[in-house]
Amino acid sequence: MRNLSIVSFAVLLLIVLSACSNSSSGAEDLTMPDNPEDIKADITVWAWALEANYLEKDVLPAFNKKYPNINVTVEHIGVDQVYQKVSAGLSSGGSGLPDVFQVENNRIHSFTSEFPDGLVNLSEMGYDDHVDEFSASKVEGLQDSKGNLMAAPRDLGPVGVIYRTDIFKEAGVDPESIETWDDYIAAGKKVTEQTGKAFLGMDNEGLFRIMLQQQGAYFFTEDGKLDLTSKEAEKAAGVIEKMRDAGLITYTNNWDGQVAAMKNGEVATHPGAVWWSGTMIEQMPELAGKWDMFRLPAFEKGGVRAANDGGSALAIPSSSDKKVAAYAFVEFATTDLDSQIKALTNRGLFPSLLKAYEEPAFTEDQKYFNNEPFFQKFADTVPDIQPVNHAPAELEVRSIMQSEFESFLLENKSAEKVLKDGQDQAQQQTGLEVSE
Amino acid sequence: MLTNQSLRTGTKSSAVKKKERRQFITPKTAPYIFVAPAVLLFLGFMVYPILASLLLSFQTKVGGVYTFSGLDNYTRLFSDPLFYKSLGNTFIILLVQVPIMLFLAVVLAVFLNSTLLSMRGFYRVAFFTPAVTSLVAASVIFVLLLNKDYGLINYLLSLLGFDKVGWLTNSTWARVSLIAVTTWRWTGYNMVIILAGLQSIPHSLYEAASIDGASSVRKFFSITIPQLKPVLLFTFILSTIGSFQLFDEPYNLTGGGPNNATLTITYYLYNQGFEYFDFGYASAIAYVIVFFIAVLSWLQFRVVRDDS
Repeated sequence: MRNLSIVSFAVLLLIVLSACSNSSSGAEDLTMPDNPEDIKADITVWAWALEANYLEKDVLPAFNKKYPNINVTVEHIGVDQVYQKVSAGLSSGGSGLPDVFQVENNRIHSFTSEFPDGLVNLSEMGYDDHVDEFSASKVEGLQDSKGNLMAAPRDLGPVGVIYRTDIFKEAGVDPESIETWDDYIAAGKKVTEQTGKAFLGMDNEGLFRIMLQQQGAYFFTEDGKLDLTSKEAEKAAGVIEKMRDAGLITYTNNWDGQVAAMKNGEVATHPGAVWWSGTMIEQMPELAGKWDMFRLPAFEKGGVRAANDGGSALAIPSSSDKKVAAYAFVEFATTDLDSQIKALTNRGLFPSLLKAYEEPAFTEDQKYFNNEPFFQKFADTVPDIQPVNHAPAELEVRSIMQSEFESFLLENKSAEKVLKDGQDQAQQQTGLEVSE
Repeated sequence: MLTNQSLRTGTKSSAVKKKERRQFITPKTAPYIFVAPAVLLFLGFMVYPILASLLLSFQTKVGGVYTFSGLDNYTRLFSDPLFYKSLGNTFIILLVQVPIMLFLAVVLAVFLNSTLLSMRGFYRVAFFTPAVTSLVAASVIFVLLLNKDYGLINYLLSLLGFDKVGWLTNSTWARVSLIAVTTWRWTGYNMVIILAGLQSIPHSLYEAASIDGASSVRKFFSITIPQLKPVLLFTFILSTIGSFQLFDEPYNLTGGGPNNATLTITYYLYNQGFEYFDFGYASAIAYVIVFFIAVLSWLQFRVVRDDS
């Protein structure tokens, strides 16, 4: 009988204990020891999909040669779960968080604005020594307003137009001749007449984002105001409207639909990021040799022909009590040249470390891609990529614009109305000011 | 536990005290100790979050810190077109799907209750199965079946000479698909509840009606339906609550699209909370959902009471 009261007391104790989280104090020594072997710790890393495989299989063996006494566990967790668990952990003062986690460029500011002290300032830990080794636009997107680096740059998603060489040949279109979006539309008309199929697939607002970035504009201005009805936005949406009205676009509904459209020859081109190569090689082996890329068409002759879509970084939560070991891992995984090459060759992840682009893996011809130096072509566009402001409200505005572009494609909404409605919605949702 | 005597004298001998301490568990206190774990868990994991989210719904985050902002979240909610759209979607499902489903459930239950049918056990299990299958697995299958270009359903339609239908890619059809899938899933569940209700109707009522010469249709409307009223009310309220909490199906089937045509109110809450980290606003949405469910349940109770 008396045991019962002990049990109920224990349950009560458990609840009380689980309610208070044990946040660690910031009184730890953050200097990096000179000898890598002096760092002894067990750290946990959260990452998803290709990046998790990269960290575990490509980075760890080499990392442990240099740091034999750091024991790293990479946990493969889905992207949504990583964000949910991290935001829940940061909300509760840092309980249950790993020592390192993967975060995308477009998400980093929603964390830093929501939890200003949630992540370790990597500049303070000495990462600024490496900043010049990376593409400038990538690094800018990972800094807070004071120029502190909040996550270490990992991969990039330079954009180009991936196209079917055989279909172009058949229609008598020379990809070299496509320099502007108007050229692209003219080529599209030629190809669709020939094939009776579409020229490109769209399932969201991705192309619109790419076109904004090309012009150095984005959803947001530098100072974080909404900027959806800018001249640049009007130009971008106008071009997409021309494509739609010429019957070049097929609505592919979602990722899988986009993959299927490419695999089944429903589309001859795909303006997309370099990381599509991994999916294509994996899911469309029968199309080997038939794909290649040309640079993104410009808005005017001689205009910018580069943009970026996606890419992640590695961050350290402030709650980690093994910051030195975590930093050693993050630094190694992002700056070790051999690992960056393995990321590309084994996983199709395109590094942002500039030195990597000079390696044979980039310069050699790719069998799958028409025996051309496919990755080199993408690497050449990296210096032209314009930095953009991924403000904290990025995801909300994206999802608003995705809906707008769905009605643009499905219900023939006009480009002008898409921008106006999108802006109104976004203002209502985010409470942000609208740029004049 | 003061005894009368000690109350009168206002003192307690140490012997009595010792005895009381040793007798912490008495027949009087035992029940409380038995329910204590459940009550503590309920307080910790139900009552506390409910109150905390009520407080949260009056707060917004400024610079990473929650600050009290009065009714801001609620005023924002009532001028939010997407909130109205998701509420509208939810009501469409409620008004179209629930009557269809419950009608089907009653019809199936009556048939399965009939002694003329052989293999009744098999049918009951068969109709109930969807309610216990993994929703994600079922959704994956439906996504394949309903695929516009390669789905089995469109293949069969094309054999019959119809055009391909964008079951999940067209706003109207996506709603139809969503209603069809939720009906597939929950009809059997409600059927089982109604079946239990049917079996509690005294057989003598039917016998008496037969003697009076009532047809089976007449028996259905004059005996079965009135006798089922409390059970039907129960299923109605459950289904209403279910519709307001509909999330898994649109999440897995359509992602709320196309163009937010299948964005339900709970899905909108999820997006605000777990996609955009706006937990204050999400809590406000949650309380609006609570309000709607309460009002609708109360209305349904009233309607039934007025009848009797």
